[in-house]
Amino acid sequence: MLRLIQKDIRVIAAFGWLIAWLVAPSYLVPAMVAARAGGAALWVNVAFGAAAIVSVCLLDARNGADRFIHSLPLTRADVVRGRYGTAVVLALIVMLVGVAFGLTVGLTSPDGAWPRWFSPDVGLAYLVVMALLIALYLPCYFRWGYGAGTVVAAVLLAGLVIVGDVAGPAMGAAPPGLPRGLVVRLTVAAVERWGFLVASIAGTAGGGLLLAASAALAARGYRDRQF
Amino acid sequence: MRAGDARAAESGGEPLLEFREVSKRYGEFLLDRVSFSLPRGYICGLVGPNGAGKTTIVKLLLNLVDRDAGRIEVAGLDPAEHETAVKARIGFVHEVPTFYEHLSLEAIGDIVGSFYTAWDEALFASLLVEFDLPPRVRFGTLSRGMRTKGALALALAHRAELLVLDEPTAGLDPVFRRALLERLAGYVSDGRASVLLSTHITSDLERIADFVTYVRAGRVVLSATRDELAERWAIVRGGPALLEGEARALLSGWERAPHGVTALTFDAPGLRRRLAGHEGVVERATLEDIMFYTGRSC
Repeated sequence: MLRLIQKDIRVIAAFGWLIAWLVAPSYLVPAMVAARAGGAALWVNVAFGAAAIVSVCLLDARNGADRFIHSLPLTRADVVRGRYGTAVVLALIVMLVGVAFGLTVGLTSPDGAWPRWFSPDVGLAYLVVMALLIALYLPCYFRWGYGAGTVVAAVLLAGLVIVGDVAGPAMGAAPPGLPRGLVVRLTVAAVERWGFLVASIAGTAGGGLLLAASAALAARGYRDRQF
Repeated sequence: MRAGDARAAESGGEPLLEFREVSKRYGEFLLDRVSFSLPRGYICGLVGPNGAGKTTIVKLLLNLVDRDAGRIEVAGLDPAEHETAVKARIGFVHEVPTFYEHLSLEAIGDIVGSFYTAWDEALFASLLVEFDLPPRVRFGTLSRGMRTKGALALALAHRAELLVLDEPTAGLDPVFRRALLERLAGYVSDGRASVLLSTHITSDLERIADFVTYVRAGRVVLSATRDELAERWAIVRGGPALLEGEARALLSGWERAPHGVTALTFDAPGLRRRLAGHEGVVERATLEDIMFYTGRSC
């Protein structure tokens, strides 16, 4: 699995110049606006995390890498596990970028206050959201391929966002500065109730179980694919 | 004794690759009970017209598609059950090699090499020099011939026991094509490895193939050694009487011309006996003749 993650990272890292000159500024501008708008920076991070994961799949599809990957001494289950590993690594890398951005915003703030979204509970919410996103997208990708899989996942995700947006306000008014969204509200509520340590253990275990179940589903879908 | 016989003796007669009654249906297309085997130390040519099923055979070997029936073995292992072990033994060169276009061959070599315990970095570097390939140029900028050379270097550098090449010589210049064929012949000469070469270019197979498997409309029409082909298959030219009587039963196909009949026989010695004293000329059939005349009756 580690070799597959290294492969994926190397494939996407080859676009380093593009990331440095195009992706980084296009991250910073909406992130700055979102930071001032009070909390949407989390969703900018989620968007970039998702884009990074989809990009790896896009690069495989664009290069017709299926034949190449299937000629390597790997099983289809190995390929699935590798891609889940890559997705988690990319989500963590984007989280580090968000942390660096949050530190910069906090340290340069005139009143010296840390933004509400730059906090452990929102960080945990980011991981839960990314776990949900990966668990939804990759089974679709492995079952239907990049094109159809991405469309199916986008439709499902849009449904979840709508449900979350409708259900979120039912929990009452959001604290100022807190990013919107049902997952954020639930995560913050769990941290308030059980404390960060217990909530983070529960979140990590839940996310891990979700990803394991999703990977099993993806492997099953991928096993049935005919190329 | 042919060089190949010594190689076969060395391999203990065990086939490195074996297809037994393998079937696969794709909508209207049926790959129907395909059987052939390839001992260690030999080159097997897989030949047939477009849509005959050659690529499906390669896909079955790669586990890119599931088979409906039959058994495939590589060194005694079923690729579906021992996928990793089987693929570690195989080097593939596809008709249009696809790797990450934005990476260089050097980077692709690093990636591919990490998956094989038998990867030989020095051999890969020397192959790039031998094939005149730039190691640091993006793969996407290479010509089709250079891509094929690159794919071949990757396949050879992990010391594959079975090289599977799908139309590798298409798009190659004649000089490298000949060099490639010589290299393939050299690759199997120590009896350790074998080559399965799927191609339309029958002259390539006539140059190096020890075995030929001819696939047509999803069925194996013939699978024989090159010597058997030369002994048993022949072109016969004669008058219309050739299509009458017992001789006709020995023909695989024929074409009528204004001055007579040109036909393909699968039993040249038998046909010679039956033609004794009659009009008719029997000549060696090329693979192209076999492909052209088989099943033809006009």
